[in-house]
Amino acid sequence: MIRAYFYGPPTTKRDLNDVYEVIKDVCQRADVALSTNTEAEEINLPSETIAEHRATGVPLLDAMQAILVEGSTPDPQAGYLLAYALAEKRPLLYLYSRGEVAPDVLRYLNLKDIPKHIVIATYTKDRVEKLVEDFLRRLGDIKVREVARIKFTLRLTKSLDDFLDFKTRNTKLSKADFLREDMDKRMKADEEFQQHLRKRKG
Amino acid sequence: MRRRNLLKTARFSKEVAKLPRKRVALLFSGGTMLSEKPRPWEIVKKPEHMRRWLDNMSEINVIADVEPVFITGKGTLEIGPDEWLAMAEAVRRLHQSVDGFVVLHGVETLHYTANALSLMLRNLPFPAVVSGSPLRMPGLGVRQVEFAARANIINAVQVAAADVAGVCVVFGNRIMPAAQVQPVMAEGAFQLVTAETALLGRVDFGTKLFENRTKRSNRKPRWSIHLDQHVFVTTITPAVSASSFRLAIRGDFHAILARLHELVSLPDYVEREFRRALKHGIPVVLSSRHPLPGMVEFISLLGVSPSMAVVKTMWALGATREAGKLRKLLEQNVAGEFIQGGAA
Repeated sequence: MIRAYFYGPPTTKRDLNDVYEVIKDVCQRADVALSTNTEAEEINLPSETIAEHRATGVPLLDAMQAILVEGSTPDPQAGYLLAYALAEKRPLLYLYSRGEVAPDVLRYLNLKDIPKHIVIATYTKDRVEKLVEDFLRRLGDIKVREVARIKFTLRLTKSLDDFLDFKTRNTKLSKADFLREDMDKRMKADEEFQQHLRKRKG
Repeated sequence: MRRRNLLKTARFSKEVAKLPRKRVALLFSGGTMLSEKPRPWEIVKKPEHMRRWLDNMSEINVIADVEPVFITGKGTLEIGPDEWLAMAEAVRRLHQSVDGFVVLHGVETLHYTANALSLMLRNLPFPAVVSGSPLRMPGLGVRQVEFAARANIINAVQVAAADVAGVCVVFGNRIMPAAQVQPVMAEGAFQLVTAETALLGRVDFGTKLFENRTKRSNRKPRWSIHLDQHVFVTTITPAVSASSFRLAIRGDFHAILARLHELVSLPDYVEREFRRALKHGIPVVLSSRHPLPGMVEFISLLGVSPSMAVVKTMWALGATREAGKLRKLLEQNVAGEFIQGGAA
C-alpha cells in the first residue's frame, strides 16, 4: 500500500473544501494510506512506524512515498513541501486552481529544471480527479476504483427482480451492486469492446 | 506532451501570488557535504565555492532568499572559538538585513558551536539555526543519506524563516534550544538530542513549533561576543596525572576547568594542585552532575552538558577574570543552559 501526504491550506471556502474531498476520495479509491492536515487525525501510519521515526529523529514525511499539495493560495507550507520533494526526489503533485495567479513559490523554481517526479498542474473542479488519478498511476501499479456516478433508471420484469432477489439473498451485495459487478465482468471479457478502447486511447 | 503543457501553464502565468519573502543568511562553516562520498561541488573550502553549492541546492530558493556568508572551510573537528566568534560577529553584522540565520555545520562538534552561540547571542528577536546531518547512517545508502542531508537543510531554512526566536538546533525531526543539545549514540547513529520537554518544535510533515518557544519580536539582542580560549580543560579520573596541572599553572592559562562527571569528590593530590592554582590566581571550575561538598573555594558548574561547561567557562572568562564576578557569571542561568535532571 502506497503512503502519501496531502496538504491543503486550512480554508473555509466551500469550493476548496470540495476539492480536498475529491483528492482524498481518489486516494481512498486507490487504496493509498493518506495522511493529511485536512483531517483532525493528520497521521495515518502504524504506531510502530511513528515510534521508530520519533526514536531515530527522522521526519514522518520521510515515510511518505508521494506528496500532494493544493497550492492555490500563498502558503509557506506548500513551498516547504515542494522544496522537500525536490531535495528528497520524492514524487509530488502540486495543484493550483486555474484562473488563480501562479503561486509565489513557482517563481523561484527554474522551470526548465523541474525534475520528472514533480508535477505542477492547474486544475478546474472537473479535472482535479483525473489529475490525481494520473499522478497516482505514475507511482506504480495503482488501480483507482471507479465510482458509479451516472444515474440510470431501469425497469425490470417481476421474474428478473425475483432473480436478483435470489442472487443477492444472504450476500452483502445490493441488487445494483450485483448488476454492476456482472456488467463489469462482461465488459472486461468483451474483446471487441476492449479493442475499441485500445483504439480510442491510441 | 501533457507534461510540457503543464509547465507551459506555470511558465506563462503573468502574475504571481505574493507572499512576504523571507531572507535567510546561510553561514558556511562546514556541513555542506551531503554524504561520505561528496561530489566536488559539495565541498566549500573558499568563499568562491559557495555559489556552485547554492546552484546545486536550488530548492532552498523556494523557501527563502539566501544571503551566503563564508565563515570557514575547516573540517568540523577544527572549528573552535575563533570560528564561533566569527559566526557571532556575522550575526551581529547582518541581523538587520535578514529574517534569520542558518549555520551549516558538521555534526561532530555542532553542539559546541550551538552552546557557544547561545551564550554570545542572547535575547535574539529572530532565529539563528545551527544545523547539520550525519554523513553516514546505519542501514542507509549514500543516496538516502544525501536526501536526508538535503531535507535537513530545507528544514533548517524553514525554521530560520519561521516564527521562532533565539539560537536553536535543527537535527532530524527535532527543533531544540541550542543551550541544551547533547550528543548521544542512539539506534547505532550519532544524534543530537534534548529533553522532550525542552523541544521547541518537531518536523513531521512540516515544521511544527511548540507553544514553549520564544516568538519573533522587536526586542533588542544582547550581544556578549567574547571568549577567552586560555582554559585548561581536563577530566578527573582516578589515574589523572598531577603534573598536567602543574603545566597548567606554569603555562599561559587563565582558568582550569575540571570535569568530574563520573566522580563526586576530588582525589587529594588533585585538590592540592587546584589549591596551588588558586594561589597563582588561576580560578578552578568544577563541572559535575552533583554538588561537591566542602569545595567552596572552587567554582561549581552544576547541571550543564560537558560541551556547555567548556564554552561557558571560555565565555565567562572572556567577560571577566575577576574571581567573584566569574563565579557569579558561571553559576547564573545565562541562556537556559541548566538541564533539568542533570546533564548526560
